[in-house]
Amino acid sequence: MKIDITKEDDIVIVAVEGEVDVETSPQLRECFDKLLAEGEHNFVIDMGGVDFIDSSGLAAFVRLFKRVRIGEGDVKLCCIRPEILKIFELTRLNRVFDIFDTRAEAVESFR
Amino acid sequence: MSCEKDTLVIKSRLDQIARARSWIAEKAQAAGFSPDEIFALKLVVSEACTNIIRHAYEGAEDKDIILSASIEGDKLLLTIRDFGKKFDLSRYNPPDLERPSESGYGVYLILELMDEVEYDTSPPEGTILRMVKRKGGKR
Repeated sequence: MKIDITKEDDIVIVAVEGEVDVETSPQLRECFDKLLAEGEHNFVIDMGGVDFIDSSGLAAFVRLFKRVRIGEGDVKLCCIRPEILKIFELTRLNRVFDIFDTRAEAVESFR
Repeated sequence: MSCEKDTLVIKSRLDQIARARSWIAEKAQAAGFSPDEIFALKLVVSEACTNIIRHAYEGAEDKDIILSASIEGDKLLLTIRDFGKKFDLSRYNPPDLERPSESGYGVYLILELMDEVEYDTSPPEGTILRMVKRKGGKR
């Protein structure tokens, strides 16, 4: 799994690539925790490069969402592949997260 | 069409799960399952193996997980066997989908994504998880 972090104003964009599973998701959780500790609270997660996710990957996003929502922030997801979107739908996490087709739309939704 | 049963044995370590996923994906792809169905099978294998490592073997890393798959017509029959603490499906509580949770989706996804699921706790040791995925099945 690869994680790439960029910023646009007060929005942090986390682009994730590869497999987000029980073995790799701790790395993602650590990344989110570090960003939260640095005071970030508006997150766009670009999942265009994610080709697999399991329930521990989903948990990493839920954990971030819960922590961000304590403050004024939000987590928006974008570029999710159809088979992964189906898992969000099955778990109804598609109702929790705002999901966008493109990164630009997700970033714009904060403005 | 009927294929010989394929078997993979992995150790009860998280770093072995990706290998099990590749194994089932290869088998399903060769049998003509769709990308969606292959993804579902990979996810089910991941969740089942994770549960075995964490709960049946309680983190012990030197135990065996035996995966077997065979094709019967339009069905993929998948069996995942462990020799640890038994899993009793009747005591399983499904997640509350109205509340986002950081745990509890594993068994739920297995039940949702497979057409047939049976947790057989009758062997003297461990559990046999028997599942069926049909081409064009429920998910």
